[in-house]
Amino acid sequence: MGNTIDPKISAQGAAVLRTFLDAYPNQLTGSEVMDALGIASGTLYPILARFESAKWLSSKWEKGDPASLGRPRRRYYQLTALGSSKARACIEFILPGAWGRA
Amino acid sequence: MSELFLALIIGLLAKVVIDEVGATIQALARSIVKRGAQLLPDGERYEEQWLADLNDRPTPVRKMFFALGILWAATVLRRESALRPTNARRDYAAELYFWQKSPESLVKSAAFEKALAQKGIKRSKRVMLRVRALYELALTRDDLTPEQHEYLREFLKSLPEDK
Repeated sequence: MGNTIDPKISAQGAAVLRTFLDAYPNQLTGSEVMDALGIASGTLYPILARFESAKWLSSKWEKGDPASLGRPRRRYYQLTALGSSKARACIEFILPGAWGRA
Repeated sequence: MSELFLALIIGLLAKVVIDEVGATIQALARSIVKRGAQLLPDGERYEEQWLADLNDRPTPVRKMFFALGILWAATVLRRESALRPTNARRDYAAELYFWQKSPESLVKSAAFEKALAQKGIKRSKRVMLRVRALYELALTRDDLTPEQHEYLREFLKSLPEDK
């Protein structure tokens, strides 16, 4: 695994991590995260890209091809093992004890 | 009776207009999303992903807000990807650094790699191929003593080859 730099975590970034932790091990699309958090696409996608670049999130295409689906394929994001541990540490830092209470 | 008929006609016309405006907004939103994706180096990926997420927005107005947000996101991602070192730039920086190392330092680096390998500390094949490329470059230098050249050549044999 190549070296990566931990991304800076904003309040929205922490909320995104929390959403993925709550959903873990399920995968979420950007649209589902937007629905869950009510944040704008302009805020969400750079956050997802930073986490993916830091290998905290992985993403993959929905199975099937656009022709048979009749629409573009969705891109699903999932926390990696690294992302899961970083997300827990980050949330624990922001809200001590919150993870245990959840 | 005529008032009822008039109301029906107005209602139908209003529906046609609303549908038409909705379809136009959706088409415009799709076009904005595509334009946003084109700003990025890996635009094809983002275009498909964002169009799929656009489809999941329930109303034309939300689709338009989504699309406008995408324009902003694409601008931010474009700026960040320009700041992120690409592989080519990283490779060049590594080669330049390696070229400026002293012959003694090159031998020490090789010894360090050997020590790591002996301790069973493995790095990915991709990294080792880069290390190999750097030492192949180092062997072309003319300031190595025959002993140093031989040491590095032997070390090079222990590195994986790109097949």
